[in-house]
Amino acid sequence: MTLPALNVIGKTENHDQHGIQIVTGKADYAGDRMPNAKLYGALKLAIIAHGTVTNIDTSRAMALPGVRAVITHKECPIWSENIFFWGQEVAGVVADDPHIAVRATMLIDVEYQNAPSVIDPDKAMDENSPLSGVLPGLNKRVVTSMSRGDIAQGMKKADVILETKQPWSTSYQHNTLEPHQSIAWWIGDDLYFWAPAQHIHSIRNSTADTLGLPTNRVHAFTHFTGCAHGDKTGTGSAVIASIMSRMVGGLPVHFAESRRDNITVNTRQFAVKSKITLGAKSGGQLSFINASFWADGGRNATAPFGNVHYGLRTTYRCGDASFLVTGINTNSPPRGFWRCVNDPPGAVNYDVALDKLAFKLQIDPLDLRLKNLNEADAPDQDAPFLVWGGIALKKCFESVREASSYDSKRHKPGNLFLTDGRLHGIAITGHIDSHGSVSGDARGAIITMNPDGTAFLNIGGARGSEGGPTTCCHIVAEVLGMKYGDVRIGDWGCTDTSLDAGMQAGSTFTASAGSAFYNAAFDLRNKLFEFAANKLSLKRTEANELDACRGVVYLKSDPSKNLTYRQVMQGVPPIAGIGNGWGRTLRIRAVGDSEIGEPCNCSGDSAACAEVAVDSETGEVEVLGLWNCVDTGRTIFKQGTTKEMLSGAELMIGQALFYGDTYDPNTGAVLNSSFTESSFPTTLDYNQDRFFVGDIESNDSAGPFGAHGIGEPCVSNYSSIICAIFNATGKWVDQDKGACSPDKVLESLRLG
Amino acid sequence: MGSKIQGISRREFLRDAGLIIGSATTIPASLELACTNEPETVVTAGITKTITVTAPAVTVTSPETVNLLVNGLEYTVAVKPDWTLDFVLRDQLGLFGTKVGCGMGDCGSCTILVNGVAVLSCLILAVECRGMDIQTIEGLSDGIKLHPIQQKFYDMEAFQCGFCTPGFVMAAKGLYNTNPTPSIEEVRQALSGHICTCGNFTRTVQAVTGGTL
Repeated sequence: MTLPALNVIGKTENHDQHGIQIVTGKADYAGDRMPNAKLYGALKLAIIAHGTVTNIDTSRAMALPGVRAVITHKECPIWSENIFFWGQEVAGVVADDPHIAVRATMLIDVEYQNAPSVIDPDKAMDENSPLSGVLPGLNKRVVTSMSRGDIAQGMKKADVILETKQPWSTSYQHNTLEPHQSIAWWIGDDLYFWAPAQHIHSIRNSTADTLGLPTNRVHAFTHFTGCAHGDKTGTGSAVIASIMSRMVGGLPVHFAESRRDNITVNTRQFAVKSKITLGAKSGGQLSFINASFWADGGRNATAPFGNVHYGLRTTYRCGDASFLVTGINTNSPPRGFWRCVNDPPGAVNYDVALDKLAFKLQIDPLDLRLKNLNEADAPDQDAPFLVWGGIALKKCFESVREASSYDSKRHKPGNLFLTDGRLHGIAITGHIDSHGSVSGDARGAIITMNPDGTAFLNIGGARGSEGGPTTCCHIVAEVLGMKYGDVRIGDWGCTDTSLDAGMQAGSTFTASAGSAFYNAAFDLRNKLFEFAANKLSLKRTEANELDACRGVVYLKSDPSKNLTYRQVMQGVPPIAGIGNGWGRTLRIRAVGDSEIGEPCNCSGDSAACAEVAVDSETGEVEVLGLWNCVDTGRTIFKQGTTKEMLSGAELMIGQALFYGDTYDPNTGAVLNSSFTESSFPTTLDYNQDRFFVGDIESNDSAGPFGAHGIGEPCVSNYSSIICAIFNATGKWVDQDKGACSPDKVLESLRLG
Repeated sequence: MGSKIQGISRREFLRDAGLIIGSATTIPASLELACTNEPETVVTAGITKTITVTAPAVTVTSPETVNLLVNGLEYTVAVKPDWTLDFVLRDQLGLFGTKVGCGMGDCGSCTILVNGVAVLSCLILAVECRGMDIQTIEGLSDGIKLHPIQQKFYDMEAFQCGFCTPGFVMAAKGLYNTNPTPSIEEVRQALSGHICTCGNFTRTVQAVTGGTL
């Protein structure tokens, strides 16, 4: 289907509407308010991995001048005397200044009854292992088990069989630059709080539930959220600040986690290991897939690892396949969302397996992938009633192949040296992202048309990293036929005055909130056209022939009959457009059918090519080039899309080469509690001239104007780097509990 | 367990060290003995272990009035000797443009200029800044036009969540104060103490060096 000409969407000149606030320091995050008018909270954390708090003596802390209150699990309903990991919250202090609060936590005397604990996920699976206590009576459970066809038959067909085991992938905390924090206060029975949030309405609702309050008594606010990547979906800081405030008579309390506490308490990317057996015909056609994954959720009983196999299941065509995911719980700090929920560790596991299979088959790994790529618009192999994406995945592969000059650079593993003596490697990977195009069940939008002919969007969500509110402005301006600059973000992030915009996670905001604003804009457009038709004295039949462009409503058959939106609004009371998003209601898209604006279930696709140089003497890996191509469906906010892809490249280089938390093997205690200790990369670790990103507009119908989320498909960069290192050295680097750091690269070369 | 028991973070160490220096040289503040080392108890399989917790020996309770010159305005403010400059700027003066990402000199978010030089405000005591010219992100623009560095960040969309941006902008201003024509390597070096957890270093470096995508 041919895309209609668009006036606002995809225009490079449209800037992020929050840009001025950000560059002038006016962007207000949760803690940026109430100078000289608030108290401060700090945490005391447990120093055992598993056990029970038997006594807490707060008297010495309370005696410290400036301390206002101490809270424990008796006051805070989200805390417990039962300890499941080193670093779990035990108590908190409210004091006149943050320094006093921190010192007072050291004066809280805690007695523990220790219980046997298990930190190592492999040990946790032993029958004789101590129980972590996270789930009653067990440490492991099957979270996904699915198969198609007959593995035994597939094995008979295979000319080559490859079995590969990947050790535990790295685990690391999000380290969001803005720490978890909240300012809360009470007025009578009404609770007010500011919090960083990816879903402020959800945080309001669950805080009300946790505290036993009616929802209308809880008033939650969020504006700017400082980095999130899945880490700011919970109620923790809001509930703790609320309890602290209640303990001091409702005075405002600013509770902000220290960097150490932030790293210790909150969730981190879960680690995954796998055993993948692949069979193929000599020409490269996959005969069977038998993939088992194990994922360590640490203390988190609901760690979201059920879909780590997703990319392997959906990206490649294979009639005989089996997928098994086993979840494990230990007394390690909680694991949860990071960036894409499943794909970073999942993708690198199956991409390594595919490259090993190609090596065994003596064929190009990219050819192996393309040969087995699921057809665009093919039915889902395990749920034939669904049509999955993949429309542009082949184009993404081809795009990075051409842009990187892959064919002229590709070589057999370990046999090409650069002129400086370093080993050269290159690899391409790609996948269908496990995130759907929509997320969450509740979302809505309000647009207000002002007397001056401008429109305000009232958004029930925060401004996170992605510029989602700006994307919604593009959609509204396009539907209303207005100038981009006349559609502005109005009030946002206030649960009292906005509809729930849905979860800002999993790259879904464009499809979820975006679809709500799409419908709200049409609602508003219909109302405005009705007023315009009356003012232009049009016949009833002519009213349907109105259109709008650049803020002018006109009759298509006679453009001389026109009014600006300002003229339409003269003498008219303010008008609101209200819309609901498409939610999880899926429309089954038939082959070739892609009506704009119709919802369907379609994931984002991407491919990436990495070119690296490996120094065999130091083990240092340099990324010489990184090409990433993403199927955006339709690029709405061009600047934001480019930024998102560039940031994806940077973060995945971080994941491949730098990130990795260190834990005490006996207690699970986090040993790296700073950015430096976490090996977080800096400007010195990136060469900005070496990232190349591109978008392909497949116009599938997942979101408004055919768009879908683009934040997570960038994870292809991660596995492409790992596979490129193999192409350079001919040796696989075991990422056992850490990224491909120089020592690991050297170890792989030494082991041979 | 060890890091917790020992209990003093880098920031706390620096803060307490600064406290001692400050009180010895400039501050007639009253120091009050707050606590002594006391045991924290862990019971393991019925056997009681005693672990010594090292708690700070003193705390300071008396604020002192100081004059601070911030963005060309002189503020008279009651400051405790252990208050870091970031805390005073934000929570006493309401200048929330300065962000605090780590509180231990590890992320660069709190970067401001003191006498024209980029400084981590979480690692400097407010009382040390008497008589110094302090500039924060709020003082960079004249209120009508963006400063050229801010304009470059805006034009290049050199931000994502924006939490790190004020620190980057002020570091860039500090760099240009001393080196009006920095090379790209000098830019990367000058910004290397800053963390962007969204992954937006590429555009940030390009904005500061004037490159284009």
